[in-house]
Amino acid sequence: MFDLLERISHGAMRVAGFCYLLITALICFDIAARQLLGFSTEATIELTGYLMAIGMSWGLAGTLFERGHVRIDVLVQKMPLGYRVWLHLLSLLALVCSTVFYAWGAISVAHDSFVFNATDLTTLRTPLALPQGLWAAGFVLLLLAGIALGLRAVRQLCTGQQDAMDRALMARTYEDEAAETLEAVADAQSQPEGHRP
Amino acid sequence: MIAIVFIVVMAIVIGLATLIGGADGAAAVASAQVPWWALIAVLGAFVAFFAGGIYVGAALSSLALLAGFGLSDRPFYNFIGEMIWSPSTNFVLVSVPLFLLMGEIMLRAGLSERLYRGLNVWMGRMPGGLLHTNILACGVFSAVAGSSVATAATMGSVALPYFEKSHYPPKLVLGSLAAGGALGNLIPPGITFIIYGLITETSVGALYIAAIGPSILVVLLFILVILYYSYKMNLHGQTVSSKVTWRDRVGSLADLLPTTLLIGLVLGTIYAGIATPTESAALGVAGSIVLALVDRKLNWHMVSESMHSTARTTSMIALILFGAYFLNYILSSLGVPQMLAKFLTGLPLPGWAIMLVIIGFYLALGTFMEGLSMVITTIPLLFPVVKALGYDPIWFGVIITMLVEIAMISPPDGTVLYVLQGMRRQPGPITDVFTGVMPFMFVYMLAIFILMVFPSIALWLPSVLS
Repeated sequence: MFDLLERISHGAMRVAGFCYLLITALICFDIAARQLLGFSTEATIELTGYLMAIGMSWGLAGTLFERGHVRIDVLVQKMPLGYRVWLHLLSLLALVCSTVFYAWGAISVAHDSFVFNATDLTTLRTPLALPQGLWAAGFVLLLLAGIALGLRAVRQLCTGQQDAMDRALMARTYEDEAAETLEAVADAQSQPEGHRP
Repeated sequence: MIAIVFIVVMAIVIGLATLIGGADGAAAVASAQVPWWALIAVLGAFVAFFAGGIYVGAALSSLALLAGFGLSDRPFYNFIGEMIWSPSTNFVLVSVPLFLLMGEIMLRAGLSERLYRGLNVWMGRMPGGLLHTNILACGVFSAVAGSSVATAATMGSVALPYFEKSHYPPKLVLGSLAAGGALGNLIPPGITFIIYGLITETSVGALYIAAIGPSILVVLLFILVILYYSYKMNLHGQTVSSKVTWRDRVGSLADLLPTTLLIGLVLGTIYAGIATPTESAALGVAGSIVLALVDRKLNWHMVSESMHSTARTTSMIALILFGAYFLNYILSSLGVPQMLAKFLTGLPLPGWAIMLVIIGFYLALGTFMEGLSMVITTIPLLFPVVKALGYDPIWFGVIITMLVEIAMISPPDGTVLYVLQGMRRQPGPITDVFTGVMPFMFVYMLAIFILMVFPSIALWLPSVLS
C-alpha cells in the first residue's frame, strides 16, 4: 500500500514535469502564431495557468517522499535522535493538518464550479471544474502521502527503528542538494563530446 | 551564532526605541484590532515552529490556522480554495518552472565550456587572469539562467580543471566561483524577482531593468577584489608562451556565440518589449533545447531528469507560497501588516535606520534559511513597512534579491558553497570555501550600502525607459 502510494506520487511528479514542458510548447506556439501568422490563440494564458496549478499540486506528494520540502533544520540536526524523531512526527502532523484544509478548500472550489457550470471567459469556454478537480487531486494525494508517512513513522517508532525513521524524514541537506547537482554535471561531462574536434 | 546575537541586538534596539518613543507606540496599540499578547503568542509559535524544523509551508499554514481560529471570527476556511487557486494560475508564476527548467537543461548540456574558453582568451592576461574569467563567465551564464546553484555548478565544472596545478590559491579560486554563482539571481532573468513581483504586484520587467545597474556594480566590485588580491599575492596572468593573438580572439567569438544567442533570445525579447518575462522564459527553454540538440547533448534521460528536478523545486516553492498566501490573508484581515508598518514608522528612528535594521534582519536570517523561502515568508509582512517608509518597491526588490544572493553564499549554510566543495579535485576542508568567499560577501554587502546611498543606480534606468 505504502509502495503503491509512493509510486503514484512519483508518477504524478512526472506528469507535473510534463505540464511544464507542455507550457513551454503552448507559449512558444502562441508567440510564433502572433509574430509570424498574425493571430493569437487567446487561450494560452488560461491554459498555462491551469497546467501550472496542476503541476504544482501534483508534484507536492512526490516532493514529500523525496524529502524535498524545506525545513529549517539547523537545530534539529544537533538534537539527539530521541528528540528528533518526535519533531519529525510533529512536522508531519502540521503538514497533514494544513493539507486537510487545502484539500477541502480545493475540492469545494471545484465542486462549486461543477454545480454552477462555471466556465472561463476565453473562446475555449473550459468548464472550470475540470482543471480545478485535477488540481484538488494533487492535494488529496499529498494528504494521503502525509498520512502514510506518518503511520509508517509511528510503526517504526514502536518497533524501535528510530534510525530508519530519521533517515526517511530528515530534510534534504545542503550536502544532498549539492550531491545531486554534481551528479547532473558528471552526466553532462561523461557524454561524448559531440562533433567538436 | 552571529545570527542569533544580531537578532537579539536588533530586538534590544527596537525595544529601546519603543520605550523612548512610547507615545507613538501606545497610539499604535490603541488603534489595533488585535491585542499585543496574541501577536506575541503568534510570533512565539512562529519561532518555535521554525526552530523545531516544521516544514516551512506547513508551519505558515498552521500559524494561519491558529491565528484564524484564535483571533478572527470570520469563516476564513470558506475562502481557502480561492485563496490558493488564483495565485496558482497566475501567468507571472508560470515563468518560475520555465526558468528552472532552462537552468536544468543548460546544467546538463554542458554549454558552458565553450563560454569559459572563449572568455578566457580575453581575460587571461590580466593580473589574476583566470579568476576574472570565473566572475565574467558566471555573470554571462547567469544572464541566461535564473538560478545561482545552476550557475555555480555549471561554471565550477568547467573552471576547476583549468586551475589544476596552477599557481592560484584554492581559496581564491573557490571564493571567486561562489561569488560568481551569487550573481545568478541578480543578473536578469532571476527567479527571486518573479516571486517578489508576484507577491508585491510589482512589474517583473521593471525589476529586470532596475537590476542592470546593480549587477554591473557588483561585477566591478568583484573584479576589484580579485585585482587587489592579485597584486598582493603577485598572481600574474598567463605567461608569454601562451600568447594570445588577434586570430585567437576572433576565433573565440565563435565559442561565445551560442550563449550570446540565448541571451538575445531571453533578455532581448523582454527588453525590446516583444515578450513578457514568462514568454521569454518559454523561448529560453526552447532555445536551450535547440542548443543542446546542436551540440548533440540532447537525450531523453537528460530532459526527463531536468523535468523531474524542476517539478520538485516548483512544488517545494508552491507549498511555501500557499502557506504564505494563507497566513497573509489571515494577518491582513486582522490588520497586522498595517499595525507593524505603523509601529515601525512610529519609532523615533529615521527611515534609513529602519531599513538598515530590515537589511540586518535578512542577513541574519540568510545564514540559516534558504533564500526563496525567506522572501516568501517575510515579504508580505515587511513590504507594507517599506512602502510606508517611502522606499521604492522596485528598489527594495533589487535589495531583497541581493540579500538572497548573500544568503546563498553565507557560511555555514549555502548550497553554492557545498556544490563547489563537492567539485574540488584536490581535497581540502570546506573552510577553504568559507574563507575564500568572505571578501566577496563583504563587497556584496558594500554594494547594498552603495545602493542605499545612491538608489538611482537601480532606479535611473527604469525611469528613463518608462
